[in-house]
Amino acid sequence: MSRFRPFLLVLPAIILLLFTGLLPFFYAIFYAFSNFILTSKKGIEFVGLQNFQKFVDDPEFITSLSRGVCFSSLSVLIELSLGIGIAFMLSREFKGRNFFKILLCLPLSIPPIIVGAIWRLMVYPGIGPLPYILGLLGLKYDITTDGLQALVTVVLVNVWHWIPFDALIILAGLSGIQREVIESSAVDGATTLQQLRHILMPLIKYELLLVMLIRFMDSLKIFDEVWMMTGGGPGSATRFLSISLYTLILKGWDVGYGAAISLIFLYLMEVLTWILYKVISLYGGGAS
Amino acid sequence: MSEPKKVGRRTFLNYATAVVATGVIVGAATYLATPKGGVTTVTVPGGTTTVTAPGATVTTTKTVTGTTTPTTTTIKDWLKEVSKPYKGVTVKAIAESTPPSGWIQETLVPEFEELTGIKVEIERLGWDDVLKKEMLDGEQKQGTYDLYYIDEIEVMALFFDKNFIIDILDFASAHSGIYYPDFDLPDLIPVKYFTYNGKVAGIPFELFFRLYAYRKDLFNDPAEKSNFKAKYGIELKPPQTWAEYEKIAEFFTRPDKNLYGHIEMPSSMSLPSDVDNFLLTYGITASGISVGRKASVENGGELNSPAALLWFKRYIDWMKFAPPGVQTFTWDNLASEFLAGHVTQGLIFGDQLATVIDPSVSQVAGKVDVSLPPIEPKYMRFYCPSVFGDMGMFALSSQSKNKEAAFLFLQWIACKENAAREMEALGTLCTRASLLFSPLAEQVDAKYKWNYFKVLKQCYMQGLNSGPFEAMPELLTFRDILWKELTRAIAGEIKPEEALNNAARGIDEKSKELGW
Repeated sequence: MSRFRPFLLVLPAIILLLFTGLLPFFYAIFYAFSNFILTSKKGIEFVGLQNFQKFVDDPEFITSLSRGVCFSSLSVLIELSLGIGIAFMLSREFKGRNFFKILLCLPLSIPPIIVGAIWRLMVYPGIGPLPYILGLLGLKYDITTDGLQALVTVVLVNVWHWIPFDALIILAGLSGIQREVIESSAVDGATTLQQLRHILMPLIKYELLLVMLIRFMDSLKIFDEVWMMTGGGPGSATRFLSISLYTLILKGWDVGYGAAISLIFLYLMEVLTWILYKVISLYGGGAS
Repeated sequence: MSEPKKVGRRTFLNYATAVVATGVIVGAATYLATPKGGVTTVTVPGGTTTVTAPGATVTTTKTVTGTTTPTTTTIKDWLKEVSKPYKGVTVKAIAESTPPSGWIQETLVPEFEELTGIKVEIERLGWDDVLKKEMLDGEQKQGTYDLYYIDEIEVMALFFDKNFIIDILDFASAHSGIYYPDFDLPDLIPVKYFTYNGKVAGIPFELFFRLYAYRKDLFNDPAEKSNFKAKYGIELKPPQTWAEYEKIAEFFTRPDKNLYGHIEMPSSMSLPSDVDNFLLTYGITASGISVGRKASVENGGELNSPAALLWFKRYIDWMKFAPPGVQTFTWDNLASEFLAGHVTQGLIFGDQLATVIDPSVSQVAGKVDVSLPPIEPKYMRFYCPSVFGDMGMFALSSQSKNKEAAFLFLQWIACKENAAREMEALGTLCTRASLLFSPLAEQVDAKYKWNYFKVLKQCYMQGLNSGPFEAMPELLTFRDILWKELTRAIAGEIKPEEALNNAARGIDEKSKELGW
């Protein structure tokens, strides 16, 4: 009996995992090979790889995906640059440091849907203060008509929302570095920039890798903020794969094709993160 | 091993002829025996209504048994009596958050609960969320809701095809004891909007007509009138054509005064509705999609026709006359911009006008009037109705465990007495012919100082209101293709003709995939 006790103890968790994780996954696989469209009078038929084949020729989804990759790359790049700076700043002693830390964490505590709603009110033409202030400076800012402005805005909102996460992880890495290492480099005449480039960055490369991976995957899946702010518009400027997928399944009711794209999305994300991991590992001196 | 039996040529031909003849006879018999929707004459206690579906060849008659003699018992007394077995039951409904559903929740639900002891919970949400919840609930056969809200014929058709809802007449027939003798179903004027293949989907409590609404205070202002005439050489009055409308839109676009001459709702959610409603005034029905579910001109549709292109070019161009942020506008913005006094004219839904005339929320209460929508004479066809009309109703979920109690609630909200109260309270809603053509309509018009019901009567009498067209469940899937392409043209990513061609082609391909 004692042999089975550990298994019995984890059994509820395994059952829960099966129902919440694996069952929907297998369900998606089943639908991905079918022509299941809720508005169709036809029953569910097995269509083989037809849905996957369709994806390759579908400009809507290919463009959405590449747009999402651009968005994620840009977001991660800005987030990391600023995150390192903020973490580096917070690693030093200064007056009001704890207060600043609390302030920094505030965006993290706001749910994404609320972030989208708040920023929509901030940037919406005719209502938001941002277009008004920029208008006073002679700058035309309208995310409902200008695709580039809309894209840049959602990138910046994403950065604003998640930069505390990046900063805190990097700060944790910095805290683990022995003070003597930095002090001795200072004695040897290293500048702050040199310390950062040659001592701190290599020592926190695993934290950087972790942040990059998590944030890249998260950004690729972004939905709530963008849906609330722009609805994927104007035109297709901020229509990322998650938004196209959402409307395909919950507006067009094309479940079969939607499930196939979900699987492709999952697979591509795994591949992308694997590539990213490998590249950073090589750059960081074989972290893997 | 025995030799295979040989069949001679003559014998083979005899067998073949017999098989073909049998096939033809069986096929013809099956075809004739299958109900095609067609014309269904429905006899209910208190009246008869005829339900017509396109392509009709067969006539069916449905009779709801029970007393046909109108009673003198009021609905309140009747309800008190018949609801006794259902006391303590909870009826769950889901509905779009519209003024009528709000009024029902605030006024009729508490009264019903007090009368019957039946509890009613209405979950009011945005249209998009309502549809999503209903689809998922129906598909999973969860039975979360006893009553589904339906406001489009294509949704109704889909729900019937999927067996999400039941024929309310069949239900009434089987439960004549709880069918109010004075309910008078045929009197419900949008009856044609809630029937599909001879089946009646539910009981309507709201009616959507999209009329042309304008600021009469500005239109009647002598200074505005003379300035307009001096500039354009024509009188300032509700336009008959879209060319006249454009002049008025331009004239009243004054961003410095936060006043605009036009409004539309190009958001992804509401754009398909605009496509459908506006194209009617260009002589195109059902968003340019043919009964054979094809949208391109080459396949018999009209979505990429010259008329549709003219509309779409204007639709994009006229955003310069609309309030800022128009690209993201939905139904809600349409009403809120109008009642805030930012818009001079536009096509507005009847239920939204209920808020526009409400002085507690509207800046323009008493300053608005309605007229028939303008048309495009170059493309308008004599048989094409120019006014979009549809209904909002509650249908009985096939998975409901409280159908009887829910059915009683339906009769309560749509009975003559309460329909009259709803009409008076909201000023723009009338679901019964006996009320529309009664002095009450004139009284309500006089109360709000406009001609809403007068125009509505004109629509009915002249056959200007749209539908019933072929109910296409597939339209919900086609819409996803439609808005994705059209919004790209609105944002200037592609040309309008390219967007319409892409959408038409996409819909044709999807239609083929769906088996059409």
